[in-house]
Amino acid sequence: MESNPVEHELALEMEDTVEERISVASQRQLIWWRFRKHRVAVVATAIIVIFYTMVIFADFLATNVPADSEAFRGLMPPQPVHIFDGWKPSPHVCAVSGARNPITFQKDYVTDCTEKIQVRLFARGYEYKLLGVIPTDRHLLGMSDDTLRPEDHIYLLGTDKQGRDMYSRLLFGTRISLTIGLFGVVLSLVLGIVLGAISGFYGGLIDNLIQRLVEITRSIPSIPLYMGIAAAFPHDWSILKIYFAITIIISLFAWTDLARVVRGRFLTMRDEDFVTAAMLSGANQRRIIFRHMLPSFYSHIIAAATLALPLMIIAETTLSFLGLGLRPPAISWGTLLQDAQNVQTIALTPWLMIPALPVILVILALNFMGDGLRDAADPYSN
Amino acid sequence: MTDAPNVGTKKPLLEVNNLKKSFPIKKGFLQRTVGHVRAVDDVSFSITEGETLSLVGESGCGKTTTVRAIMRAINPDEGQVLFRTRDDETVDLAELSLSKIRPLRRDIQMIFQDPFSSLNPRMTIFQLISEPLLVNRIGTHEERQDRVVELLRQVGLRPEYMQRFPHAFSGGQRQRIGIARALAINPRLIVADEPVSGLDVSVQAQVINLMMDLQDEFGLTYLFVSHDLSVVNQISDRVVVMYVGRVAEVGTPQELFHNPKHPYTAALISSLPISDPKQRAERTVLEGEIANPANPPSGCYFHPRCPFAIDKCKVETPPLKEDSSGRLVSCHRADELELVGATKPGAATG
Repeated sequence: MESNPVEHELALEMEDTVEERISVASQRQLIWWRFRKHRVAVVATAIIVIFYTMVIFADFLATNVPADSEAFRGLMPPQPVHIFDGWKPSPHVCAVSGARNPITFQKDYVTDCTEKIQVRLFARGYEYKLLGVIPTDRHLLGMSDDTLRPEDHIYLLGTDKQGRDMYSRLLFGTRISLTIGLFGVVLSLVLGIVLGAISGFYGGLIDNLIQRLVEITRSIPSIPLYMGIAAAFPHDWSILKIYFAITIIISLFAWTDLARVVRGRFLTMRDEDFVTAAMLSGANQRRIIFRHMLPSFYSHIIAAATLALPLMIIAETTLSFLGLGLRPPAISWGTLLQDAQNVQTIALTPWLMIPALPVILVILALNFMGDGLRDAADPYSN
Repeated sequence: MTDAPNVGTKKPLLEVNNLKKSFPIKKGFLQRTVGHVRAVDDVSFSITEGETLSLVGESGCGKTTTVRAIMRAINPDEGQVLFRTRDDETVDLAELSLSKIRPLRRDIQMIFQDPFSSLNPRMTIFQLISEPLLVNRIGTHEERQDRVVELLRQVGLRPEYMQRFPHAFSGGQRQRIGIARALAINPRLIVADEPVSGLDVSVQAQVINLMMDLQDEFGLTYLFVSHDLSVVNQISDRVVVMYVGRVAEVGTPQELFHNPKHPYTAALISSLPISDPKQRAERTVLEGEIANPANPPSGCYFHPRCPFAIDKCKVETPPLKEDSSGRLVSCHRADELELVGATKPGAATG
């Protein structure tokens, strides 16, 4: 050994601490270390976190009341925020004024950048309750009070046909679409785990019955069924009721995949030696299921749930887009995209298609995150 | 270790009588039962306190099924598993309901074959070893901790490793952890299902020696399952040779190795490598395949492969009975055959 003995010892010691760290690392830590290596999944997770933050603070982020309609400001193009005025930092949007074209009868909007509407952070706007409890009127972005004229307005992503602010509507649509997905997944997770666990743990006749039920459920064509059920909703139901009804319907069909995953895991677990070992040392059934079996695959369940979430969101968006799910005045990605259903939109008012972007982004991000979780879920696989 | 135990004076700790277990073969959409695999077909033996009894046989001969049925990890179809409890009562483990068995599990613990799958990867060594204590509500947390430290020392592992997870250990170390777990609640019978067959030969010897040392120290009783005759020769007081779910022969290692009574035992012994290169063994190579337990041959299951089979063997199943020299053999011709065992003492210890 030519190397400096002190240095050598130090290197050995470092190796020891690394080894020690791995030796006492719990399964959760191992999963996290492995997930961290999957860069795409980490980025995707960040995107998902950002979107759910938007869901929580939709009111704070919004600039206008999403339901406020002003017919004379319909189909107004987006007003992007300019941060600099020449070289001077001075955030503003350009004023937009419109007039009816006497030949086409269309509203023509003209952006006039000589007239600047000043924009500031934490501006005053409409009143709301932050997180549903704290009453406030501060918003992340808004027009600053000092130079405000009554005709000034700020529509970051333009307006729809009825002159409602697309940006604020998109935020509230995101809130509904993402929470429907979440509630749906939770509900189908409960159904899936309970039925899958019974099926896998007890086996035999019960297993047979549940598996046939899964097959029957999966063989029903979903769109016609949704149409039937949607037609059966009473017309006088409130938005909230319809929202929950839709969640329940979607999850009644989505639990089957999760039930299969859980059942398969239980079947393999049941014959694991460490489960037999626990049984032979006198552990009761509850301890065996909750201490030994479930923890060995909850990471798989989380991964399966993450992969089920985009399907839920897509289902809600599809249903609402087709007019079978949520209906206006409820705002969701599907109802927002309903406005973009015609050729006119693509040609004249392309900003109405903006809600498609978050749909694509969130679905992709959730899929990548689920993939990463699934790969990391089994830290011993190699 | 190799002295014959004094069977006459001690009552058996475990007595297995005519144990049977078969698995249905199901086919088709309606899962009709089209036949049965007779995994364990009429097995009887007994173990006295402090001895090591080994079950030997080829893969698939029903050794593991036998011990799992004794432990009630699976339910036996027929037969008795008489166990003498601490209060000197005899209970039939085959008959008791699972809830009545649970308190008795304290007395019978198991060491598993695969040191990787038998330890829950999500639990620390402390949690794993103390689990039998915890579920049987023995001691406080501190007492359990002391006990785990003591156990780790006894099996030759450093107590500092207590907070580590199983993935930090090698196969041999994991098997030591498995042994420590089995010892945790002071069981009276330890069932070891091929505890060393997943390990390297050098590690095998260490683990076997550890098990023998622990037996000397705590007077443990082992039911040892193996397919490795040299390991069995080293650790056992008595050996039960099994063939296709049945007992072929019972005896001490010396008796079996030097004076086998059953042609199958003789064939097994002759397959052992001899450590002396000058010596040439007369090998009996068995013809044909091991019998299919789903469709066993008539009469003696061994007769299609037996070089000494007579007509009677094809018709009549030989019972397990004492021959003229007092050994338990299930062969019609046990008294007339002169079978060759291992030629030199110790040749099989490998």
